[in-house]
Amino acid sequence: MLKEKLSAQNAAAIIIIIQISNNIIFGFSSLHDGSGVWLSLIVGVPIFFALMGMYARMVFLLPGKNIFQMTQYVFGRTVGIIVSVLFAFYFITLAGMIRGNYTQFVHLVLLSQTPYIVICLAFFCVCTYIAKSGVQVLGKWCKLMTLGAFVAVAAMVLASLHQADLQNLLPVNNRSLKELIPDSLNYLSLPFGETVLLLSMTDRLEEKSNPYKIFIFGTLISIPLLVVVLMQNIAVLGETLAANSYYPFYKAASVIRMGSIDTRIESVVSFALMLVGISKVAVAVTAGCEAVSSVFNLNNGNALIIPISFLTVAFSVIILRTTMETSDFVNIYRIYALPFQVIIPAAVWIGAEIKTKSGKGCIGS
Amino acid sequence: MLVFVIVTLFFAVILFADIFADRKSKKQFLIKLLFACAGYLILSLACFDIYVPSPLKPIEYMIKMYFNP
Repeated sequence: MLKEKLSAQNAAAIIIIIQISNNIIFGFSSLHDGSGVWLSLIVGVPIFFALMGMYARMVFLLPGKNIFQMTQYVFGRTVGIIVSVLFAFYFITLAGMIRGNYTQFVHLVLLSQTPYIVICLAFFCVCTYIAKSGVQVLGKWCKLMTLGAFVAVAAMVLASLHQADLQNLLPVNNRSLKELIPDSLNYLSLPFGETVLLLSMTDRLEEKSNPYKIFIFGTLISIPLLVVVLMQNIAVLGETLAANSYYPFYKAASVIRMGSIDTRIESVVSFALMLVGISKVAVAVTAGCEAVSSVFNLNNGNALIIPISFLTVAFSVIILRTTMETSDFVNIYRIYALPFQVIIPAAVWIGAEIKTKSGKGCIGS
Repeated sequence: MLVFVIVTLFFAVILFADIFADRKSKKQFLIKLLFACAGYLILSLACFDIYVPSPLKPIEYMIKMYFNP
């Protein structure tokens, strides 16, 4: 059976979606770094690029393989299966968490009378349809959604210009570099480490595509977008309100008044961003299916999408029950996700380097 | 109760339109059935407000115990 191919552009779009989706709408609300929160993000750029470089290097050393096949190739079948089981658990719970975040958002600010599970099931239909359409369609959809996110953020920033008070961004920094670096490491697991989701689809990348370009370009696009969103949130809401809001971007959108022409712009913006979130859930579900099909040695991971997506609906109901719980869980998630985002990929990368150096590996692309 | 009915309808559609309709191999069929049934069981319990522990709870306790984030 011929596998669908993922073009470099579509892969980069998936990376952008993974990195921006939750973080635009939830705006790093759990971080209380003060007005210089965006500076921590900029300080961490070398670390984020190092992580992306590691992912890209893995794909470059072992082309035509996804993370599960890479692990099996480097460490053997038994370890490979154990790692696939762990990744399957991580991806499925991650899909549940992301869907849960968006459901909570919709339930809290838009459809408070609609039962939570019903909103989850509505999301399930859309996410499953996108994921079931295949990696190629998913990539194209992500490309479209990246454009949508850009338009939404640009519209928001332009519309809020006269509500923004640049004084809120001051002082730019009142911390030493020693304090800034640990803060910037906080961003490693939450938006950037989740790029590991794409590693489950790298077996579908076109042969001629350069993994370095894909990972670096995707991150290069999403970092300025996140910085702009953070700065806009703080400029419009002020440091205290932005730090204490669960959805600062939505709150910042709700204060926009463009004379008598347009009010309630937040509903349009949040709709666009929800579509972006749906794309990320579809990516996570696809990754989960690839992991499960790797565990059970099935040829077609796409066939598992509907039941696994249904399970993620159940997980989104039981994992994070309230918005407060979600906000508190962020600190735990940073530690929970570290083995999947950094430790296992680093071990696979080192193993792949050793295998390639000893002449047993396959280098190329 | 209405939510439970909706969940059951979704499960029925998944069961008949995907799991039974697309039986390529026995292994694949059983895996699909397992995931769908697990999802249905959790959702049914959640519909009646019966507490179902999160699969991340043990990890959460462990992280809190050792790292105290």
